[in-house]
Amino acid sequence: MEISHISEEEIQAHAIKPEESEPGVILHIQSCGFCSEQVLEYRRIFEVVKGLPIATFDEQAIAAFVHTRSTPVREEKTSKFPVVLAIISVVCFLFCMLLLFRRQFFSGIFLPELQPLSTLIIASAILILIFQFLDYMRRYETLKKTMKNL
Amino acid sequence: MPGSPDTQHSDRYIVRKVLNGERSAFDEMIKLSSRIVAQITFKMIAIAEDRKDIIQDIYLKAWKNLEGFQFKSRLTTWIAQIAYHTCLNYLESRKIKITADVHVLDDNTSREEMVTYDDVKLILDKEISELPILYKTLITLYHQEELSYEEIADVTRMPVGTVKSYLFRARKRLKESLLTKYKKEDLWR
Repeated sequence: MEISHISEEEIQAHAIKPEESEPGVILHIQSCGFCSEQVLEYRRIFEVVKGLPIATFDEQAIAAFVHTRSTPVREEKTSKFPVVLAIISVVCFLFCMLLLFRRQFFSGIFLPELQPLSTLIIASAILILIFQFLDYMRRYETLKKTMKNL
Repeated sequence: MPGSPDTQHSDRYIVRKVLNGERSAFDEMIKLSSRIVAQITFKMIAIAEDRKDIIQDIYLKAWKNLEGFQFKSRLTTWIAQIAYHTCLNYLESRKIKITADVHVLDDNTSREEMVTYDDVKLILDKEISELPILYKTLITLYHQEELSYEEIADVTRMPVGTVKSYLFRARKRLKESLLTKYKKEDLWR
């Protein structure tokens, strides 16, 4: 008659936390010499592993290195300047759009001598927006890289 | 896995102090996490010089990203997570697979010789060092550092089921390699 033993998973689990084993598993281990020997084998190994030497490194050297290389965290806060710049550029852009709109439909009100000035404002606003967009893209890439490195 | 209220309290205290620029608090942070960081890096990185650079890198990252720490886990678990992934990035950059076998040069000591308890320790240490990087790291985290499956999952960012599965294979392999090379009677005298 072939004897069916408990699985290797159950043997490992019982060797680690016997109190969590199913009653059937406990009964089998108590009555089966082969499985109880397997459990004992694992327990011996785990006991020795637990007592193995612990790796260490020079904590002071690492602390000294970090202190010399790093700047205080508080100083790493991002500047609010790009946000202000973005708001200004959006306002400029909206203002220019409004000017264009007025010019198209109320050309009598829009003075011809103001035309170079409005073109300059529009061009500046578009340029600022482009730079702003590129800056945000760069920041996003940096953030993504930092997150990946974590 | 969030730490106990006591741990969270002390973690918050340390983090606040470090963010306020207190160097001694950062030293304390290194002291608290040095054991687990050393265990991870020593198991994952074989070259001593690289290991030193990696440990420096781990603490630099911890310092720079501390403001983003959200206390969802213990501070040491968070630093362990940085350590594990920094080592992983290093291994990936060198195209070293963490599940591949590690070949250690065999010494000339006879396996037939009778072994004492200290010998068993040496033997097991050697057998563990020959396991794939992932296996030996998981065994160390679970059996030496006594991290729970959930904490290991947190550190490695693997599902808990995957951690359990790898650990099962690692233990089985360790037992099998040990028993194929040594006689039970010699090992556990």
